[in-house]
Amino acid sequence: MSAGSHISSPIPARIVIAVSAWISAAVVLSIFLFLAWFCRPLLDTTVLSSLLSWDWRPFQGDFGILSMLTGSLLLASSSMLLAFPVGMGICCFVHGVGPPGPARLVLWTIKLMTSVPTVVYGFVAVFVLVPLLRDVFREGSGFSLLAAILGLAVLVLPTVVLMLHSQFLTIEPQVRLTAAALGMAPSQKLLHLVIPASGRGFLAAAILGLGRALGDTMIPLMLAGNAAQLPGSVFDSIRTMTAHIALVVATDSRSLAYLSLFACGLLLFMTTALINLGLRMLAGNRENGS
Amino acid sequence: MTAAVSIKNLRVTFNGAAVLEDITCKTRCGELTVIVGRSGSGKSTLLRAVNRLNECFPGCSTTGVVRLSLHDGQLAVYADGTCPERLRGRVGMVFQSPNVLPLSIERNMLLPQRLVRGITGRAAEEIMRRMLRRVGLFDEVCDRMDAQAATLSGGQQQRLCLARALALEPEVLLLDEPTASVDYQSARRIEDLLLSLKDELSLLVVSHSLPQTRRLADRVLLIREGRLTGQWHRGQANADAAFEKMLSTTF
Ligand SMILES: Nc1ncnc2c1ncn2[C@@H]1O[C@H](COP(=O)(O)OP(=O)(O)OP(=O)(O)O)[C@@H](O)[C@H]1O
Ligand SMILES: [Mg+2]
Repeated sequence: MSAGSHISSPIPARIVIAVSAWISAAVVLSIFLFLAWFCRPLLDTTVLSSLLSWDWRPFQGDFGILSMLTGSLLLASSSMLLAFPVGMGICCFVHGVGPPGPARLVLWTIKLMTSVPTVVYGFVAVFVLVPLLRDVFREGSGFSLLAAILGLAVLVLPTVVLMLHSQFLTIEPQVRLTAAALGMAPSQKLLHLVIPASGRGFLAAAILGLGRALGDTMIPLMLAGNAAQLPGSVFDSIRTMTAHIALVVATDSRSLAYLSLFACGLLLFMTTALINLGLRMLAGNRENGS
Repeated sequence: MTAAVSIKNLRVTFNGAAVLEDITCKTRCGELTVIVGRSGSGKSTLLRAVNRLNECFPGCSTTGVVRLSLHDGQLAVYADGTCPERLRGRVGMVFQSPNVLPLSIERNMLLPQRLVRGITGRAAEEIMRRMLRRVGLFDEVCDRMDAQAATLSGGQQQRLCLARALALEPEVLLLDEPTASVDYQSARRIEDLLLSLKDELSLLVVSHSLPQTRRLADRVLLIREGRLTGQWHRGQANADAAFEKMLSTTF
């Protein structure tokens, strides 16, 4: 095992990588410019104050999208709060806490989950999860924040698990023999050596997981009930910005309603970027601090 | 006198290729055994057969019997009921190349004590300081115990690994070229330490140096291409001549 045997990549490969990096950056920038361009009418203060309000009643001329913003943030953060610890537990199970046979099976299942289309999760949830919630809690129709949280948690779980898994895979071989020779159990090695050294993996899992949860459309559209309101409990219906865009695009509507789509798009874009930056800064501070 | 380590018909294969074959030998308590042989002959594999570390490599299979005599009786290393973690907690090992954990110097010493032996706090720190002094590292690191262990020099890391193994108070200690990356002074110091440890625990040491083998060994095992081709013992008839004869072809 020779550490750090880097083979310098040949020039063509480097050019290909550089070109694709620039193309991706250009695409992201142009999406942002495109959104900003279509959001120009927002600069008008009456339009802006109309959009930045809590009520969505298009037929009475209220086009507020704040409840959708809240819905998106609430749903994404709750489902991540659920998926993150569960994903971490699964990853620990796969890496030595569980017996090897079931561990392989679990990992295989998680990998399989990434290839299941979102709409399938939504479909199954509509026919299994929603009736179950309705019968168990006897509150409303079952199409609720809770249903969407559970559905979305399942959706982002593989992202969390696989990001952590790949980080564990780079750390674990470095300490495997030493930990074994000292008489540490696999679970001790994981808890005291691998996890503390996996900060980057946790950061990546959080950023990608939150991005996925915030951006997903199908699950909230199919499970959350889509009432544009502030939920009083997890059994209430909510509408996310993504579901809002899908709904309004699909139905013919008036101009300010259409404008609200671009506002939602811009907000989604900025929220994701802010979360990304914020978590990176948090991690940076922690690394400097310790 | 009982055998400290007794090996019978040991055979180790990696992916079907035999690396050790038909190894049968015994070492006695209170003796220091040195294993010698050419590079690639299987010395490290023999050491790792004693603490079952070969199992951590893919494609390894081991047959034969290895018995250790510990304070509370005999332990059959490869018996079904033997837990590898518990075994390795009692059989210390220092690797050929230093293998510090990606932690601070202090944590390298304290974490294994806590996890493997349940010793924490002042007691653990006391053991840490004593062992660092024993390997002659304390003065060099006492003012930077919080620094990453990887920032130490190779020889310092090697001594840290030895101190870390000793802190677990093993009953058998396996040392794979413990003086490979340290200077002459430190090497002599480690040799003296090993000689002083003989009464407390059983030592198996791989060495590449003839003078070192001469200074340390009560018993020598010569490995050639995976087989035990020579044994020497300090108490045997014409010991000096036999030593020269056996090792003249090795070094
Ligand atoms: N994990 C492994 N997988 C496959 N082959 C192995 C493995 N470990 C050792 N071997 C093989 O076993 C043989 C003996 O290796 P070993 O490391 O025991 O030699 P050694 O006597 O310690 O050599 P050196 O003096 O160079 O350290 C070598 O041919 C090596 O290729
Ligand atoms: Mg070796």
